[in-house]
Amino acid sequence: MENMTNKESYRTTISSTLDAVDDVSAEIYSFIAKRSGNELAFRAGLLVIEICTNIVKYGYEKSPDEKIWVSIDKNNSSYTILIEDESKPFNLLEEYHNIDLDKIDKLERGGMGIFLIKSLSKDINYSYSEGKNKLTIIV
Amino acid sequence: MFHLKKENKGAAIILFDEEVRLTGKISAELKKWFKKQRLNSLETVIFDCQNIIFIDSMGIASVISMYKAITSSGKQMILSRLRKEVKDILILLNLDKLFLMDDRTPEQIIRKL
Repeated sequence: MENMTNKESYRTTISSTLDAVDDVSAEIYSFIAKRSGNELAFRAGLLVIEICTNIVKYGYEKSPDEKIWVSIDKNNSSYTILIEDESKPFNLLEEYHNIDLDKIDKLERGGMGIFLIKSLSKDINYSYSEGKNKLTIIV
Repeated sequence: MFHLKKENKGAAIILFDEEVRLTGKISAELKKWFKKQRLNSLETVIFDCQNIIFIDSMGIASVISMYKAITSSGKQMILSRLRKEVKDILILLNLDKLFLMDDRTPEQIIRKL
């Protein structure tokens, strides 16, 4: 993982593995916790881990040699997170996942990630350009 | 990393030795470890969550999996001492309607059983 951090921003490129995703989520948690407290840090760390896990599992289909680019910029009291990957075009905003406690088996297998991503973002936008999926999230 | 501590009144406490991020790798280990535990003689399993500093959807799925295994055999599972951020996420997912959550220590819960 290569990264660059200054007072107001953080940039990194990670390999497409779940361990690398967990590490970057922890770093973003730490970056925001120091500046804005644990609650916002938790939310941002969770958004990053859910989005990047989706990319690793379904975008790159667990191929560890691919890359994910993550950046975060502080704007007053909020943060803009940009996550880019070169997997096939996929707009998670078009996916619908509701939480149904009557289908606990389904929940156990997953399906909470996209609900969390949509619920925890103040704003979220998707685009595909220059061969990259680009997800911009305000938190 | 994980322990099952058997107490009186048919209760046991699941606890973490240190602060953890309950994400992919650890949640897979937790599920594997949990399957090996003998819970036959127990009535109540208290999951002490004080050391869970972060959780993602895979971590939550592992807690759901434990909940299912425990409650399907007529026992109860209580999540004790959840940190605010973790509890807020479970509430966002409506899981407060599924899980019993208690802010008291496991020992305090057991005294009141």
